[in-house]
Formats: sequence, C-alpha cells, structure tokens
Amino acid sequence: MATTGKVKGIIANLVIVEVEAAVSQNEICFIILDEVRLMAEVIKVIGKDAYVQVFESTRGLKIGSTVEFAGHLLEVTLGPGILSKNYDGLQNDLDKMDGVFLKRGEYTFPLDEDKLWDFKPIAKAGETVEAASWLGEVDENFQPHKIMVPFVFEGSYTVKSVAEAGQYKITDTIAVLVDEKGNDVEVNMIQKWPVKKAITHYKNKPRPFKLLETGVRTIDTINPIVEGGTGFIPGPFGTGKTVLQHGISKQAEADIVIIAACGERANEVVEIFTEFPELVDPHTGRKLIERTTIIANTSNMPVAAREASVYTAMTLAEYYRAMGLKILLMADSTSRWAQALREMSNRLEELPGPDAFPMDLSAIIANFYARAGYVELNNGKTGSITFIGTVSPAGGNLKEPVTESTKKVARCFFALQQSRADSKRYPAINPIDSYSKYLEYPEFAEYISERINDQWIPKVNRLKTMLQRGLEVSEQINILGDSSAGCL
Amino acid sequence: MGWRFLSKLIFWGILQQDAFDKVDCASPIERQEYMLNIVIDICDKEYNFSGFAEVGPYFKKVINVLKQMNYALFKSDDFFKEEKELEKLLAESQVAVEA
Repeated sequence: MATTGKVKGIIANLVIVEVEAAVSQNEICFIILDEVRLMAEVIKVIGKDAYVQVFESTRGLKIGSTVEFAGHLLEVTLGPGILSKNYDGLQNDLDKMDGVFLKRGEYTFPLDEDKLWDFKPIAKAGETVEAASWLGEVDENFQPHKIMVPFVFEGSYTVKSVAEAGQYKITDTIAVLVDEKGNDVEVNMIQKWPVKKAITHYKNKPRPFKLLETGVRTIDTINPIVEGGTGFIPGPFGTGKTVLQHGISKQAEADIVIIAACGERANEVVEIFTEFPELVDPHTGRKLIERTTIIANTSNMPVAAREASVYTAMTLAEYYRAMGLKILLMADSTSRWAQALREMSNRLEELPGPDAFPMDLSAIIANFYARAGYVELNNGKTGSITFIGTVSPAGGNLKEPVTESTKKVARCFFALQQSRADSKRYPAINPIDSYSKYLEYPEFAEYISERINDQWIPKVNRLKTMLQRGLEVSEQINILGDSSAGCL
Repeated sequence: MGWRFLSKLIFWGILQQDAFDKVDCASPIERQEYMLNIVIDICDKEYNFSGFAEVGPYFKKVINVLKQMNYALFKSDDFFKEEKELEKLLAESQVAVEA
C-alpha cells in the first residue's frame, strides 16, 4: 500500500506534509484536491515532515488534504515517438491536452500507445546483454531509434528470443531475456528513468575533441565548440540569445536537437512551436521538427516545473546518446531555472548564498553540465551530448552568481553584445570577449589538423591577437585622439 | 599596417555574418577556411599609401567586397566575380607580398 500523509502547511507552492511512513528524497507524491491530483516532489525531509514542491498552482489547497506518495522519483518515459513532440517540463504531451490553457492536475502519456513501429532485431538468441545493450531498432522519423535493455536492469542477461522484423506497438514484447537466476524477463519498447540521475551506461567518457560545426563563423572559426562540449551564452534582454540558439539548432551537425524553453516568455515559445515545423533541415532536406523535441515550461507555468524541464531534457538527451547519436541540447534559460531554485530555497528558509541563490548553486550547475559529454558506449560506438545554455543576467551584470557559476564549468563562452544587437547585427557575438577552452586541448588540435590543416589553430590565434590589438589601439585613440592614429 | 584597420577587416570581413540571410546564415567549415586564408593573406601584405587618409576608405572597399563574397553561394560565379574584384583591389595598393 502506498504511503500517505496529510497537508500540514502551505507556503505558495511549497507544501509541508506530515507523513505516515518513510518517504525518500525526490519521491513523487500527489496531493488530492477535490477531483484533481496535484503532482509534487519531496525536496526535504525532517522527522515526520516532508517538504514537497508542487508542480501546479496550489490555489484552494487546504490543511488536512490527503497526500499519496508514488514510491518512485520523478521519471520520464523513454521509447520511440519522442521526436517531434512538444512536452511540458513533466513530459506531458502538450498536443494531447485540450484548450488554450493547461488544466491543473492534467497529465498525459508522452508516447503514442497505438502507433505501429517497424521493428528490426539486432540482438540474437543466446547473446549475453546488459543494461543499454541494443536489442533492436525502429525507424523514428528517419532516425535509427535503438530499443535497448532497460537501464534499470542490473547484471547480465541472456537473450532467449527477439521478435522477428515487423510492426509492433510500444507495449508489445519485443524480447525475452533470462536473468542470472534463470527467470524470464519480458522487454517492450518503453522504459522509465528518474530525471535527476544521470544515465551512465557507457564504457568511457573521454575528453571531447571533434569540432561541432554550427555554421556560425564567430563560433566555428575562433571559439569552436566540440561534439559533447559545453557552452553558454550570457546576454541581457534583447541581445539575441534566442536568435543565436535557434540558428545553432537549425544548422549544427547534430542528429537530434532538444530544446528546453525553461521559464521563457510564452510568445517566444510559441515562436518555436510555429517556426520549427516550417523549417527545412539543411543537412537532410526534411523538416527540422522531425529530429527535434521541444520541452516548454514558460514563465507563467509554476516555477517548480522549470527545474524538472531541464532535467527532463537532459535525460531524453542521454537516452538518445546511448543509441550512438549526436545530440544538441539547448536550454533557454538556465537563469530562470536558478531563479526557481532560489524561490524554493527561500521558502525552505535555507541559509542564502550570494544574491539569495542557494549556497550549493555552483554545485547544482556543475553537476548538470557534467551530464553532457562525449562517450564511448559498451558496444564500441560513440555518442555525444553538446549542451549550450543561455544565461539571462539581470541588467547585463556578468558578475552575478548564475553567470559566475556557469563560467566555472562551461568550456565555451559566447558573449553577446548589446550594441551589436541594437544595430540589428545578428549573431551579436563579441569575438574578443568570447572564448573556447577547446582550442587548448591537444586532442582537438590533433583532430583539427586532420579535419582542416595543422596551421589552422596558429592562424586562429593570430587572428585573435590582431583583433585584440585592434581593440587596444581603438581605446588608445579614444584617449589620445585621431592624430595619434598615424603609427597605429 | 594599422591594427585598427586589420581588426575591422577581420571582424567585418569574415566574423560578422547575417543571421537572416539565406546564404550567409550558415557557413560550412571549408568556406570558413577559404575565407580565413584570404583575410590572413590580406593582413600579411604590405601596402603603399601616400597618406593616412587613404587607408580607411581603402579598407572599407575591401571589407565591402568580402561581405559580398559572404552573401554569394560558395564557389559560385558571383563568388568568383567578387574574388576577382578583391584581387584587383589588392593589386592597386600592394607593393610587395610577404608570407
């Protein structure tokens, strides 16, 4: 029987629940409000009291309301059919919801249960497999979507049978495995995974080294990002963060693009929803939306779900990486996520850090960025998650905690400049203030010598020096006047 | 040669692109390499100007041709036409070529 509890206190969307049995950190629960069940997540437990953040509006909630604990953490459902979908931060399929506004307490299944998929087996009977081993493949919008041994499986299994090539629903059994104790385990095309836990079913995570072409010259030429690399775009309001992210999403050489619109204005998200289905992928000639998933959690949605949205996006990216694909994950903006963390931290009356953000903000951001990367899978294939987040520093102050914490972990920094954006020059990247640490990686130098030539990095460094000298001279002229310019 | 003009040339000639232009919004790495080599060559050349006042307008012309190259399809007729124009412009003011 599920653990239950009663609401004891309500502070906006932080609810204190007196529980009747043990609950775990980050466990999901549902608060019963008349006919509606409000999803919430345990974020702190003190004695008999569980502090839960509610992913919905808590209007009308009363002391004494019943709470039912689900016995699992916040999970996403993984399987074919994720691409082209528009989800909210909790992986509800937005297209399945009626009406213009989202109804409180309405949750929808993220995949299509009735759709038939063309399945082709990969594993053979008698083979030994483990979590994340590939059992078969379906064609998902022309991307090879691998059906894997569920990530939660422990130890090794022997394949007893794999379904023959044909059409199957996601709930149909496509393989039967035998565990180490001799029990048969049926596997279908769907599995679940908790979003706050990284999927680490790979052999090795070497330093990334392959250039990820974005088509943006200020990035590729002088501040390159690599497959499996991390970067961030700080910029005040209106400097073109979203324009740049959209541009990179369209042009970058990635197999899958996942966009997490976290706490952004609804009109910007609507723009993504309407623009992406129309865009043509320059690499395949197909619609860009066919290899894109959008996770939208706009600024008018409850703040707690913002945090969930970035973790949901990262978990989906890790799922596709385990298939040996190149994923580009864009989060716009991580500042709004940090603001959500700050709100919850303040309501929990935790000791505040700089600007009232939680003391462990740096660690939270670092742990999140660390989930990106280039990996060698157990079967020898490789996959990558390239993560680019935007930061919206209030008033353009790049010394604020979110920018500072992100700067410590992200290896690329693409500085946007207000004056360039004001004069309608996009992308508005300042090439001198921006940097890429990957230029210093010997692995990258070796790769680029083969991909372009061995003189590329020395030339790029010369270019940067000339740009820097030009800036210094301009500043000098500003002080000494034009008459000093003759020798400069 | 003035650092100020070279940095402007690098920035306006190759780095700044037009995110809203069909061709210039995305530049394959082969094209970036091609253009980088052109710009580095321009930076390495020596020029013969009779006065400082000539330098600014001259480089404005060079930048303009580079921009037109960026707007043309890579290695298309228009692209090579602009490249020829650039060579002509460079020949006008150049006295010696150094690596």
